Amino acid sequence: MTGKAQQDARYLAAARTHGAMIERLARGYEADPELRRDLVQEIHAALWRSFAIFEGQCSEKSWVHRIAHNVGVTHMMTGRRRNKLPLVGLDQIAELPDGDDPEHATGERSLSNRLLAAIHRLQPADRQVMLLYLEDLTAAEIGEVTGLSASAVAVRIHRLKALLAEPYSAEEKRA
Amino acid sequence: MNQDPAKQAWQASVEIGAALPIEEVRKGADKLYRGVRVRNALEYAACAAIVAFYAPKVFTLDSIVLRVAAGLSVVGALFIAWQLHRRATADRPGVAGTVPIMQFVRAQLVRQRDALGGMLWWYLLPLAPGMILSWLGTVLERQPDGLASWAGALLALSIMLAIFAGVWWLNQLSSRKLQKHIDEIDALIGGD
Repeated sequence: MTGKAQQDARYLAAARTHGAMIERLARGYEADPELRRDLVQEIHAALWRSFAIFEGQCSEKSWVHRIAHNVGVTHMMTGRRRNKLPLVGLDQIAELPDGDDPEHATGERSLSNRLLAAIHRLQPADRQVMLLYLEDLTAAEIGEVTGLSASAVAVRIHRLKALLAEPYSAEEKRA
Repeated sequence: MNQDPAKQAWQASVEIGAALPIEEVRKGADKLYRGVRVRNALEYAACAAIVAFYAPKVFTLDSIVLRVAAGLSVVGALFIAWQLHRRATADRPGVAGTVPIMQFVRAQLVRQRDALGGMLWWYLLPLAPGMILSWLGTVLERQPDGLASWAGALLALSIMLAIFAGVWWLNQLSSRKLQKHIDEIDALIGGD
C-alpha cells in the first residue's frame, strides 16, 4: 500500500470510529450550525493530514482527540464564534443553565441541551476537560490529551461531578 | 455502557458521524492554509509596492538626501519581507497531534507574542530611517522660512512618529494580553 493510500485508509478507519465524537466536540466549540459544519470539515481535514505523520506516538484515541480539540481551540481563538458572552471557569457555574429550547426538550435531550449550554460558557481548558469527561475518558487520558497536570485535571473533574450532580440533588430536595 | 446519566445523555445527543469523502477532505486540508497564504501574500505585496515605489527614486531624485532615504526605504522593506518569510511558519495540524492541547495552544501564543513584542525591531525600526531621512530631505529641499511652514513640517514629523508609537503601543498591549494567557496555561500545566 502506498503512503497516500495508507493515510487515506487510516483516516477512514479513525473517522468511522470517532466520527460521532467529532460531531459532538464541534457542537461544544461552535453553536452556529453553518460554522459548525465548517469546523467539522476542518477537523476531518486536519485528521487526514495528521495521519501522514502518525507513528503511534500515543494511542489513536488520544491522537484523534488532540487533533480535534486543537482545531476546536484554534477555531475559538480566531474569534469566529458569534457568542460574545464572557467565558468563565467551572468554579463560576453553580448549576447547569437551561438549554436553547427548554419547552420542547425532555429527559436525555433536555440534559444534553443543558450540558451544551454549560459547555458554551466555559473557558478553553475547562471546556476541554468537560468534553473529554463526557466522552468517558479517564483522568489519566484527559491529562495525556490536554497536557494539564494531574492535580489540575482532578480539581476540574471534582467540580464537574458536583455540577453534573446538581439536577439530581435539586430533585431530591424538592421531593 | 456508561451508567453516568450525563455521559449517556451527551453521547446519545449525536450517535452517528461518518467519514467525509476523501476528495472533500483533501480539498479542506489545502483550504486550511489558504488564510495564512493570503495574509502572507498581502504583506509581501505591500513590501513589493514600497520597493517598486522607492527604487526608481534612488536614481531619479535630485536631492542626495532623498535618494538615500529612498534607498533606506527599499532596504527596510526588503528586510521586513525577509523577516515575514522567516516568521511565517504556521503550525501544521499534523504536528498538533504530537503534543497535548495546552502545549499546542501555548506554542501558538508564544509565537504570536514574540512576533508582536518584537515588532519594533523587525517591522517599525527598519522603516524609520528612510521615513525620517525622507522628512529631512523634504525640509531641506523646501527650506521653510516662516513659522507656519516650520510648524507644518514639524506637525508632519509628529504625526509620523505618533503613528509609529501608536502601532508599537497597540502591539505591546496585545503582547501583554497574550503573555497573560501563557501564564495561565503555565499554571495549568505546571501543577495548580
